[in-house]
Amino acid sequence: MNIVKGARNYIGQQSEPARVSRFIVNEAMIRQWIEALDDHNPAYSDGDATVSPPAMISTWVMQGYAKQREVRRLRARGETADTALSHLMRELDEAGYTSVVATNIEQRFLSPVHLGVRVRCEQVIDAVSEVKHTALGQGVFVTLRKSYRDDDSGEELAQESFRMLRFAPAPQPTARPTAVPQLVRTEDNAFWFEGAQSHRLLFQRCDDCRTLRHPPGPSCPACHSLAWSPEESTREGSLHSWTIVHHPQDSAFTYPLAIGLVDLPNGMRIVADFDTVPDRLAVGVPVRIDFVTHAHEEILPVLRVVGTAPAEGEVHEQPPMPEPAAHPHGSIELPELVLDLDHTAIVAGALASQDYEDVHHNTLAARDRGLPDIILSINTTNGYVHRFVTDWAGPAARILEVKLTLGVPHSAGEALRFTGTATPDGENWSVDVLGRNDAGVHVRATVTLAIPASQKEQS
Amino acid sequence: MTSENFSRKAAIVGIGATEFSKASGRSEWSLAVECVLAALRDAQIAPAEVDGFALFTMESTPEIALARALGIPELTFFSRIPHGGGGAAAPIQQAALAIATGVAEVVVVYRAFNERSGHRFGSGPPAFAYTSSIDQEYRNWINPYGLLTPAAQEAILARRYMHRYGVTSEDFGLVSVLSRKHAATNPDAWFYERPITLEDHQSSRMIADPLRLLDCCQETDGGQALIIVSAERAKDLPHAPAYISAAAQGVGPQQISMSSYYRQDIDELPEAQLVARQLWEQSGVGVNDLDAAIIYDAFTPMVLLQLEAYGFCDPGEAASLLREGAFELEGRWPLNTHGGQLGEGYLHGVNGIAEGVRLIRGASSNQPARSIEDVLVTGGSPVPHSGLLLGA
Repeated sequence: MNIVKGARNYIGQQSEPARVSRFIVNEAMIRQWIEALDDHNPAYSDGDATVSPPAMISTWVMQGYAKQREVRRLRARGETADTALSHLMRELDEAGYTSVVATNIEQRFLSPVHLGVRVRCEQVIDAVSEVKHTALGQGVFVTLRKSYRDDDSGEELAQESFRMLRFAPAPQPTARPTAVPQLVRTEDNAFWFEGAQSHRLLFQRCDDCRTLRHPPGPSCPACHSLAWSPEESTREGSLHSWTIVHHPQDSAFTYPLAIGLVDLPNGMRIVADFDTVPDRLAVGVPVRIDFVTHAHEEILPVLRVVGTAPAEGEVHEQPPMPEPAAHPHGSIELPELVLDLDHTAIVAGALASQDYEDVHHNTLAARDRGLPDIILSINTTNGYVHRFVTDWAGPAARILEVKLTLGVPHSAGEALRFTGTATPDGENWSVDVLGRNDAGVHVRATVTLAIPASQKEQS
Repeated sequence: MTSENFSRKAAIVGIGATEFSKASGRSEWSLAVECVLAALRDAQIAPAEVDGFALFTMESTPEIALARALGIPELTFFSRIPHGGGGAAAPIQQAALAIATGVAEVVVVYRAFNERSGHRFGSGPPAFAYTSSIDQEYRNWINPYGLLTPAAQEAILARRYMHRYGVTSEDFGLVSVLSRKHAATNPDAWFYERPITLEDHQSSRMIADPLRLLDCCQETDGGQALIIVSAERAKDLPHAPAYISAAAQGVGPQQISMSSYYRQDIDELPEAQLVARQLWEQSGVGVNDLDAAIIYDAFTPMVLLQLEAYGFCDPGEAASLLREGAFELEGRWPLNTHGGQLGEGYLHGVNGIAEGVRLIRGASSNQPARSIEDVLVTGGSPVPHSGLLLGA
């Protein structure tokens, strides 16, 4: 097992002295959060509301911009704050794991957080992993266990497990060139590619015995004549055979990649790829041939299914495709939520949660860290998950627990699309949430909710 | 073809291999030298006696590099065969022809490569694919559409074969299960002591539908060499000779490398039928006389197609024969007793020829209980093909 020497000695230690909120839970901070996340749940946005959004629990004990500047000054002088977490981070730094990203939050909400409460947070280093290979690079996961309490009464308000990855950024993968060889153009086949350039499907017909042939060649296999003329073919045929390629993957294509061998009415066959994997593939399925740009900017045939009725034989089973998860009895699809998050929305969310890490504010700093632009903070993502779920569940619903895992970062300018399925879970509801962007899954979460029966019937 | 020309006039008298691994840690040249020395030791023939080589055109270590490295003073015969594993048995034919006609006396065949740690055939086209020549022109009609690997190119045939005969992925899987069963008891096999179940096959990931990972042979670093001399000389050597009863090449109608997609029936292998016809004619041996078979198994569907092309059964029936146990060690035709390329190693089929020799010698790790006198060894499909009959 590959571990960073000494790093595991910190397990079980208090990561830093208990943090006490710089201010009591207040309407101004809550209002800023509501506006940044555009979350208008009446439970906390109504004029007479008295509770804080649950996802703000960590916001109350963030240390603010003044502290952030102090930490930066210390770092610039090569000094480390005298806390276990700082010492651990310094050891990981020295081992080469210099970048950090939050990966998971699990929160259990034990009691609503009311206006006027001062929040205290005690944190313990719960786990330090061995060195892991991740998509971001090699790194070490550090898990903090946090307990949030009312500083006056001592009542426990929430428990949290917060996991971050301290990693050595992997070198950015350079775009791999395609393995598709350049076309071998000869005097015998040039006509075919010229035809494709103008979206015409051509075949050689022997001038003497009138036999068609493909792939092209200089002479007629039937009568040996060297004389031939190109003849345009219909672009509709049927599938003779096919494959769906999953591996290995070439940069010129998107995968899985369906490729067909097509029978044309003139007796010729050609191979071409499908523009997308059709819903159903079977021998005999009618296909149309169009022309699109392929590798090396060559315009070449592409296949599209024009119907689903097989012309012969039995239909073969559809190859395994990712299927939508089967819904158990009584589960409900949540209305989709699509967020267009511009730079301002991302900065507003970070500031509303008192997060001053530069990757959430400063595009140049984000690019230095190998990101395309500033990214959504985990606390903002958590806030959006709460909003998505309570938009459906209504103001009387109470979030009991959230388990959230971050996937690909969400950058400014991208759309974030939430989908979810709610399933009855004893007295409560369990909601599986997926937040996707163009790059893939940004967040996967499971939210446990208590919804009063009267309201559930209305929804 | 007349059979009296070279049938049983030459024999394989030496076999030698390096270990089969995923990273040899040495040059392909070194692998070639090591396996040739091992084969010469096995035959009790001195390197200086070698006067001929017959190789693959894909071989990266040329015969003159071997001759130089081993201090072989003179070569009178050197020949190269194209089409990769399809031609696997053809260098043996070249050797037998050279010996039968007196052109050479000791001919060495070898295939040595770092196919796993170097360029992997499964990763995409090899370096020579990027030369603009008529030899590579066929790629115009497949590669630009993503049909880049042998697995994907053969999947097109496999899908059509399934459609035509109702053959299933499980039928393909049984080929793999059988090979891994034999590999599990062959200490030289990469998958020694690692058999698989049909469930393992069915749950292995899709590579090129319908081909799953466990339909594809492994990729291997290693070398395998064979020594061929005249039948007269063979009698004086330590091992029982594996006589070359027949050896043949074949190109079928409208043949294209890996993509003969424009024939009426793409799931038939006329080039293999042509080779089979020659083998029976040259030797007087028929499929029913065979005691064992080594069928080229880079991908499982081609084993079924080849069994049908060689006449073990009618088209579409190979899977039933397999299910009935015909290819088990105690069955009618013990098949790929070394574990095949799926189980032992992928040496472009040359390790299968060595297993044919061991079966004749009675020296296979999985030697069937009865006497083995006639063994068929085939090259790859769907490319220009070759095959070989070894006799006791």
